[in-house]
Amino acid sequence: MEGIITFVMSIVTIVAIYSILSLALNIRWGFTGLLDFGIVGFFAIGAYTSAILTSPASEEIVFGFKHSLGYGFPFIVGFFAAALAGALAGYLIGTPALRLRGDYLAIMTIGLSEVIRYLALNEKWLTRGAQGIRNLPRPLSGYSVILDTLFYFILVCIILLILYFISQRIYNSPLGRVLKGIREDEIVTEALGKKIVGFRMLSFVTGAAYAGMAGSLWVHYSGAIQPHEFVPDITFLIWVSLVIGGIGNNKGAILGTLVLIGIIHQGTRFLPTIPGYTYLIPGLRVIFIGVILIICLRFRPQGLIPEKAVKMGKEK
Amino acid sequence: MRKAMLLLSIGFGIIFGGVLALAALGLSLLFRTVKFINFSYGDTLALGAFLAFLFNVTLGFPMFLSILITIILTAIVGFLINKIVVKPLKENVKAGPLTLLIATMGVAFIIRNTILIIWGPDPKMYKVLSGAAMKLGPFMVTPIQLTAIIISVSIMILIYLLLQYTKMGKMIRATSDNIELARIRGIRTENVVTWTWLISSGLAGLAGVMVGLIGSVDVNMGIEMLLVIFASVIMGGIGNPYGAVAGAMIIGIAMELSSAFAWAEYKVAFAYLLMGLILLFRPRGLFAR
Repeated sequence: MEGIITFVMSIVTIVAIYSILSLALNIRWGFTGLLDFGIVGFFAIGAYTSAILTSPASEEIVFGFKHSLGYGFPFIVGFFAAALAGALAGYLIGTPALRLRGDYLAIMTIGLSEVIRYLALNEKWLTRGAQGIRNLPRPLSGYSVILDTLFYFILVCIILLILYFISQRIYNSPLGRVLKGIREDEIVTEALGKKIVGFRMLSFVTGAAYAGMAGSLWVHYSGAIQPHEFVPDITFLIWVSLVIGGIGNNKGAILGTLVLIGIIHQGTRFLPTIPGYTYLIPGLRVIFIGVILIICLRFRPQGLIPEKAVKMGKEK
Repeated sequence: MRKAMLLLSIGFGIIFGGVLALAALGLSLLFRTVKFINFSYGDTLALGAFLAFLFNVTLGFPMFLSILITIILTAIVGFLINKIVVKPLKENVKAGPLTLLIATMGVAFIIRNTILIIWGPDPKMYKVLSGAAMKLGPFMVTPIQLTAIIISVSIMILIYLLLQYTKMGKMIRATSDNIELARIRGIRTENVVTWTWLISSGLAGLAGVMVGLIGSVDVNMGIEMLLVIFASVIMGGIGNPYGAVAGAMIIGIAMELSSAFAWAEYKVAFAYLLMGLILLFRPRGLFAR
């Protein structure tokens, strides 16, 4: 019984963290129409920021290299720093990248996310490279495991709720209408006197901050961080979640993540690896997800919860 | 010493650039006709590399026969991607270029994980004698590298002749210039699109084998090559096949030079940096008028 509860709790925590990423992509692609294939890059930046700030200070020798990394700050500092670092990276990357449109932006962002991964892999003085950073604390690390896990689970859920409400608020605000205007027709929106560049940037940076926070929550959930966690596969999973759930709809983004990450990706963790065919189950899982993406685009492009049509004023 | 190193990396850059050009040509050709970016192109290339491994090493066929079968099979894979994924999306839900791009990303992951299941994550090598390096002008090349570049260049010339002088080539060029006008002139544009998929994916498969010949074959080569191919295609101006070839040579040489003299770990990142600069300052490519 306890095993089941822990299993469900861990899955819900993971789903909640990925949901924040889906919300981030939804702000960028769902609201504003920015074709972003690099969400995992901002996830990585948040994750590493938080990991470096909170890991215990040490003077150990890593690969013959004196390593004095780690500041031993508490979780909360890492979390907010991750949001800031994400936003800052979003601004720095967005300044050149957002001059690009559509598929060019997709190419640029997927490449940049890979560059960020190469940096994490090779800049050993900062990230410890492939070895990764371990022993990352949680808010209640000193207490019993159950209390710690439970508290973290609740914390992640609360943060998701807060971010959901902020995202919902943006969607329904005048700002959200401008973003949707950019998505539907940039030229018309610009003709209405809206500064497109600024709004695109705002959407990009907000998404980056969301992804950064998700990164922080992720590393403190798993307790360790390694560069190979931040491959484009994460971006792909988030995209499929959003397409399944309903592009442009925050509830859909979370529902899609629950279905994809919760049920298909994590919920099949108990499947055993077949001896001699180590990659059969993990491979089939991704193949299945790819098939779902294509079927969804073909038969239900609006997703499980379609975006609500905009209410028009009464016609006379 | 430095000069030797310089020549060595330029030499390998030219060879890698030539192979890259073959791959970039295929992607550019397809983009020109279908007007969206095929994200599964990199993994089609990787699939080609692995199929050649299957025939050459597992089944023990001679290399040239393996290459031939690989080209045919990857061309069929391209045909199927169009038939099963792209065409239904276009016809039934009027999918735009961005939706098609997302859908082909799904295809990319399906292919990559199929490779992973069948061949696993360890790098593979072909069973070919690489032979002793020989001097060719100022450069040192192995017979294998020489073969790879000769095959790549001859296929590129063949594609050029096909596009420029055959009826099929004219139909492809007409369709990519203006599909409506081409249709009015009685060209069966559907067939042209199908043929373009076949040619483009066959080129991807061949390029995959060439990459495997001069380096090694592994499951992540698809995404890595895709990024570098993008860089080349954008360098030359997207949808300009000849520009893509020139872009690939520049990217190939630049990557090898950067890895020899600056940062080996950031070879791909360097290609990306170049691409970023081109996108920002000459978004229509180096050779845009």
